[in-house]
Amino acid sequence: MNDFLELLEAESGQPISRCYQCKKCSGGCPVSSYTDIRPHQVVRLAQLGKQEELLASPGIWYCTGCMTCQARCPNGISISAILDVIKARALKAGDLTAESLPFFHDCFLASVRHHGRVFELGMVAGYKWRSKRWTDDKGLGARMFLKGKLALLPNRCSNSRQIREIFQIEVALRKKEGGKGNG
Amino acid sequence: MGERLGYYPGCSLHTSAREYDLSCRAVLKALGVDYAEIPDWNCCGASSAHGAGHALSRALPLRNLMIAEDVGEDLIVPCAACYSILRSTTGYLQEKSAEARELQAKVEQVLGKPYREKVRVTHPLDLLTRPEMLNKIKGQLRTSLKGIKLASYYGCFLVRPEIAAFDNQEQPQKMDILLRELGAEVVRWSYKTECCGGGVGITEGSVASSLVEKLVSEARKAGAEAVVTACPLCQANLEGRQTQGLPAFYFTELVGLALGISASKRWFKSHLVDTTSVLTKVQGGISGGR
Repeated sequence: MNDFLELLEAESGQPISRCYQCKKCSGGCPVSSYTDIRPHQVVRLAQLGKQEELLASPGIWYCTGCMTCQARCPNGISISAILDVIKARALKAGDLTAESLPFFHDCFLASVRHHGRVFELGMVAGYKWRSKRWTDDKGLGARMFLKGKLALLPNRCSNSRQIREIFQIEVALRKKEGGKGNG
Repeated sequence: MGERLGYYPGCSLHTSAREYDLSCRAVLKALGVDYAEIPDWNCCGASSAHGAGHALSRALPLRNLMIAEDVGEDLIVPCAACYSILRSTTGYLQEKSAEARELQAKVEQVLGKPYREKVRVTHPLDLLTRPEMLNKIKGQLRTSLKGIKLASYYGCFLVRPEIAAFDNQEQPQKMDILLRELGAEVVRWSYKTECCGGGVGITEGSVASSLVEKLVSEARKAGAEAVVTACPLCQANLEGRQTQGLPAFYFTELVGLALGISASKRWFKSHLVDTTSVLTKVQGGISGGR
């Protein structure tokens, strides 16, 4: 077993070595026709220890998190859990200005950290500012606004101390485990 | 239902999915379910907390579970995504791994009380399709959805992961049973549990749009006049990203309509796709009732 595979199996908790490439995951994946590598290829590249190829693939950011792959895998492998570890490593490795999903997650969590709940309008504005993708879906945003579907002010959870401390748990546990990823 | 249930709306139901919240509350009230919104809840973290790390994606839901324990033993969660996450968290904690116990201890410290593992996370579709509730609905029907063809759309989070599934994962039936009880005709189609792409809607809009167009075309091909959902992300995505004029209802809106709840007229006004083509076919109209 190569080092990268060993690390991925440990951090994701997934039995990656068990995969025999039946491709049921890719058959059911809603985005497999839009990506450069498909779910069964993610697993194969992981088995072969191809870290650079996986981290550089734009396809890893297309996963919708629908979990169809894991529901149908005969070996009980959750590919989204593997992708979570790969994405966390790609983020650590550096330059991801072309990818917008990390910005989205950052803005979403910033909203939760500040208000305890997601303030949709503020979150989307923050995301557009950071990703510079101003024109994406602007018609849809306007239609939602006109139908009263976007609140102008945040709805808050009043116990900001508890929310702050819950975000600190993540940091504390990570430090303890020496920067272990998720799974 | 004798005992009081907790109710967790989640962020979307307070804003973009207001009609889901209003219709769900109205239906629970009409059916005599005693429920209360759990106080000072927080966001469940959705997919973003998962990306940021394992502990946060469990700690945020756990705070809600602990608050819910003070309200009642069942926690009703209409948003399919919140439901799936809260329910998975109860399963994760039940396994009692060293990691889970450490996390639980830390969250207990923050809240200053223990997690008693008492709360059952329940989706309103699961609640409304229990035999006693179906009987109650049958007894209170005021208008019939007879002649209306609907495609029941379960999406991802009612059936995945396995611990969240209260129905068959590949061929769920509960929404079909409920809609038939209201008089509607439920069409056969193969896309009940296909993903609509809501999870990448904001970041990869064109991918989400093509997934939605495919779903909507398939529903139309099967003869449906509307799609029925149980998820705020699916509903906004389905109505917001299609060009075919096929409405997407929340199942609770249709139950409310059939029970003759007059406030239902207001829910349908906030849809992005015009719903009149379907509503004009409702027997007895929507003006009657309470």
